[in-house]
Amino acid sequence: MRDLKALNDTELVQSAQQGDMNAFEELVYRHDKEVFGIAARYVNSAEDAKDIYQEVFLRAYRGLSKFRLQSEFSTWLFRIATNVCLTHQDRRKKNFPLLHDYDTEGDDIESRTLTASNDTNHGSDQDTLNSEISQRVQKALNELSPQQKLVFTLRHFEGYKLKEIAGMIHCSDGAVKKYLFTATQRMRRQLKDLYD
Amino acid sequence: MNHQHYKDQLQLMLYDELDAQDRQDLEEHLEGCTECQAELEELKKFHSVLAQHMPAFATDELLQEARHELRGALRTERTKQSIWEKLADRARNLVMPQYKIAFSAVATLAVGVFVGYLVFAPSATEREIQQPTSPAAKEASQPLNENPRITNVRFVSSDPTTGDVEFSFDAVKPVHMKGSVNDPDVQKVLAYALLNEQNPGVRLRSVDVIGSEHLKSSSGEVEIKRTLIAALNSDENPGVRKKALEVLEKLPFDDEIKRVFLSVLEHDNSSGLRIAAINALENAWGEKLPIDPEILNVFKQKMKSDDNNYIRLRARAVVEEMKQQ
Repeated sequence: MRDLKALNDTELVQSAQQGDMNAFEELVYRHDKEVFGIAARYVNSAEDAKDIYQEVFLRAYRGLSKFRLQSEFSTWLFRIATNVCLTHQDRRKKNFPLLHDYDTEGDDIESRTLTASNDTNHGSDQDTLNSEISQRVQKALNELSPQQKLVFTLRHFEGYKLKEIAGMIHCSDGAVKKYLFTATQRMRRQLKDLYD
Repeated sequence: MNHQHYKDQLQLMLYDELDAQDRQDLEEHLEGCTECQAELEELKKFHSVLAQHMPAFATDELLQEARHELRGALRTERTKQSIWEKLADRARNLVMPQYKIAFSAVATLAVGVFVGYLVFAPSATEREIQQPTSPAAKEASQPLNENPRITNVRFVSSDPTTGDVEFSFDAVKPVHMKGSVNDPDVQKVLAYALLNEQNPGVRLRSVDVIGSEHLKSSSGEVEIKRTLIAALNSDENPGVRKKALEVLEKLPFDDEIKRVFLSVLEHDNSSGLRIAAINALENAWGEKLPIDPEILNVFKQKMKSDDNNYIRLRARAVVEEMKQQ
């Protein structure tokens, strides 16, 4: 039996196009962390992030037969991911924000705990303050247009280069810079009192 | 160049997106421009606030959940596709060489009857006049005398002049089945239940029945094995997955089973399942010398990276045991 881990993406795509489900799953496992990261940062809701994640890979699965390997599989996949993010609308009226530990049972309690970047052990006042500031950052992000929010999230939080982002969302480098500059300007206006 | 241009350049500089020439120009400008120096300081403060209060990011556990849900969705997607494949297979079977002549004869006859109908049949107007319009006349592709559950009624057309109405619906009726677990029809239903039933209790019972009985006969074993593998890979309920793993453990160890056990060990979010996979692989490997490098690699990986301390220890113990062999 072939060791799928030894195959590169192109070989896996070719196998998956011939119906090898294990090859497709290997492709999923190779790239799904980035896809999930993009989705989670973009929507900041566990359920919506999972929806986006699933939609991205279902679209990839359905479209795989038409993928002609003219770009990297990851580029194609991230393009789908950004497209799904941009067209995503909250399907649930009640969202479960990522910062909120929602109801869990048994052993799952730990697994449901979501990680913020600045875990601290300060007292509860400091925690409350941090939480409020985080909420304001999130609110400022949510007030951006979908394109501005996506570009800002991908560049600032996920660390993608502007050129890569331009490839993902199908627009020029100049347009991506413009989204980034406008997003930064608007975010700064919203959060000015936090750093003045 | 105006200040706005340099202010934009400052942002790019902080993201390390400036080429050497632009960076040098900006630095030269910065030396003599207090406005841009102040802007740079403010930008740095803004980045610092964001760095301290970044929105939350998803954990591995959440990713595992998403993977499980995706497996379920892919399974449904494959089922949809396989229905089309089956239809295509049936169509292909119709034109298999041994039936070709008979099929051609039937097709020719049908074309002949159709042409004859077109030539000699009365016109549409005549047909309308001659057609009996009894209100009691009805056509149904499915008899209703067995009181089936009627769902999904779709109106096709209605004719107010005659009172005739045409519609279609799904008639679902309960079926009681009793038979040996080795019967292919019974196995088909059990496999369907295992993969598609919403109620996890029914899925669990299906694996139980399959596990307790099917080993008495090898007929249909491949299908059952694949069904169990699919359940182990994608059932959302850990109890069902565990049961499927236990039944698979009783089957002769082969590449397919090895792959699914390794997949559980690598990707399942339940530590109980991962431990069960370690035990299953260890038992199977004991019977299957020499050492399988694929299994060894996964164990090596797990002893370093699994979140669960016990699994790391178990993986290390197995690797050491393998090395001693």
